[in-house]
Amino acid sequence: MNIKLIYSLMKADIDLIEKELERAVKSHSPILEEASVHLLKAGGKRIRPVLLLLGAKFGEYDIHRIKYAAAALELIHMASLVHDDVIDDAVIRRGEKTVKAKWDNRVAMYTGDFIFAAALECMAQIDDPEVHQILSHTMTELCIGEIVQIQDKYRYDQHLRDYLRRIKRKTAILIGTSCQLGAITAGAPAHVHRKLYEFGYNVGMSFQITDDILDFTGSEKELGKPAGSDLLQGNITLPVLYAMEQDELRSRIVDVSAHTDRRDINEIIFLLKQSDAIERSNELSRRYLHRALAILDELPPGRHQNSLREIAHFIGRRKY
Amino acid sequence: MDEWQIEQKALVEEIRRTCSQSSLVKVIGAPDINSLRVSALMLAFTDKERTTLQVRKQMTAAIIIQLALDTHDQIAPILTEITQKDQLIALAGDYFSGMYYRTLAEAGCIHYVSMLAEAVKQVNEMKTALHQKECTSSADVFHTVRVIESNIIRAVCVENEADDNLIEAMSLLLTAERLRNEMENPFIVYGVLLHMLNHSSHVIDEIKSYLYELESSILMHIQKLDKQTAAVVQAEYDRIFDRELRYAEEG
Repeated sequence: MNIKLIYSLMKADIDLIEKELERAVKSHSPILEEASVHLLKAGGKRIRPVLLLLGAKFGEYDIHRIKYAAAALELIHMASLVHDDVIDDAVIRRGEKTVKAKWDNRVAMYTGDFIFAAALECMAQIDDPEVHQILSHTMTELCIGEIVQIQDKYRYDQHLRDYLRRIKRKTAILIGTSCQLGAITAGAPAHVHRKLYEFGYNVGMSFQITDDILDFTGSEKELGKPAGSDLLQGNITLPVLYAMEQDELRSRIVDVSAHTDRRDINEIIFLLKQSDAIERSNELSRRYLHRALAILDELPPGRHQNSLREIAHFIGRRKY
Repeated sequence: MDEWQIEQKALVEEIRRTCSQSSLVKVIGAPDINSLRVSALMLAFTDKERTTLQVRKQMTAAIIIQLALDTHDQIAPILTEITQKDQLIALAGDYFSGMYYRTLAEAGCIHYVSMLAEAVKQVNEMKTALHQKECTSSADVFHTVRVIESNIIRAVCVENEADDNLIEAMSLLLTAERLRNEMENPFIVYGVLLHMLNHSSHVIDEIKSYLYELESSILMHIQKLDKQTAAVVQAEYDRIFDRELRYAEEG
């Protein structure tokens, strides 16, 4: 089963979620609605809702109940993206102007807050306290991850465990939560939804490491931003940590600041690709992926288990 | 310090503890909790209700979500360069939003999540309208400010079936407090009025004239409150309108 087939099999349910998303961002403010719809139409793979739907297949699947959780997760993701664009001063996302570029920072902040509130309104349709406790905990951890990331910028004395803790909070917990919430909402037993969290968590770790590798190996066209942008912004990712184990690369990297010349960045990227940093990063990403697949094997077998396996492979194989 | 002030101070501390995050406090300082909002919330509940865990969490969440929205106002519309402090201010607002949800989720108050989220959406609609200068008159601006400042507190009060006069008085006091702050430290509202009226003296005159209207409306609502509630609201009124200072000046 390939990824396109998974999406086509779930098309009717994904369409219902799209409708819920459109309904959720309806507003008396034409600008807030336009900015929100602008974000919705910019697309994205809707990976979190899809993982949630697949997680729900391990319980009593009722799309009319779980659609609220699926839409809420996508809205939370959208709200964080619109604020991230302010934080990163990003002008383009997915080939489209960002809200902050199309309007301004303040409209972007208000849009994010509006979408976040819409997400919680949606989520509150589900009356299971455990679901809310898990999601709210995830959201605050996500924020702490971003706060730590900003404070760790250009801090070259950090360790692998700092990086792993950061990407756990920044990415992996939300993907784990997506799988878990689907299962809880559908009434799956505790040992199943906890395993689904572990599966999603490991997929998320692999996903983020791959993302950090692509920042060096992807083209500007594929990435939608120049290669090495993370390094220029001071984000110390896994390939950079590995590259810094070599003295020559370390001395070049620690001189990088927001004002470093593009030519110098390109030289560092060249040297980093010559080193074993990419291969070692790929190896760690694969290890997380294998761990995710092993966890999946412990879950009750079925078509949805195969779908999750395919999504995990898709994430592992992705080139941009 | 009377009992009311002691209880208020304790609640402010409790809220501050809930939403303080060590990394954020180092860079942007401890969250500034508005005591008028805390008073308004406390008055929406009875003395007995305020001792229950659920009500304390409901009050805490309402203050924290307001804090989230106020924090995001601090991001300038256009920045030549975004500083680390700006980035952390943006994230602080998001962290507070998460904490409001977490506070209510842990207390099992899911209906409050929905009720406050609806109020938050309306506040953001009004903030956007104000920022985009969609208001057509100063009366329109003042109405918008009133929704922005009091919608969340109003939602809690309405949910708890508080006295209409209390809701109106507190809503007007919150509006007055914002306008007085804008006169001292011009911000978004002042900027919009300046754009509309072209001259700073006209802006000040317009705000003063509206504050004068508010004073009489607030006093009218205070008169209709029970004695104990009226005393608390009157004290807030005196503080906001510098009554004590004016009494002293007038001899």
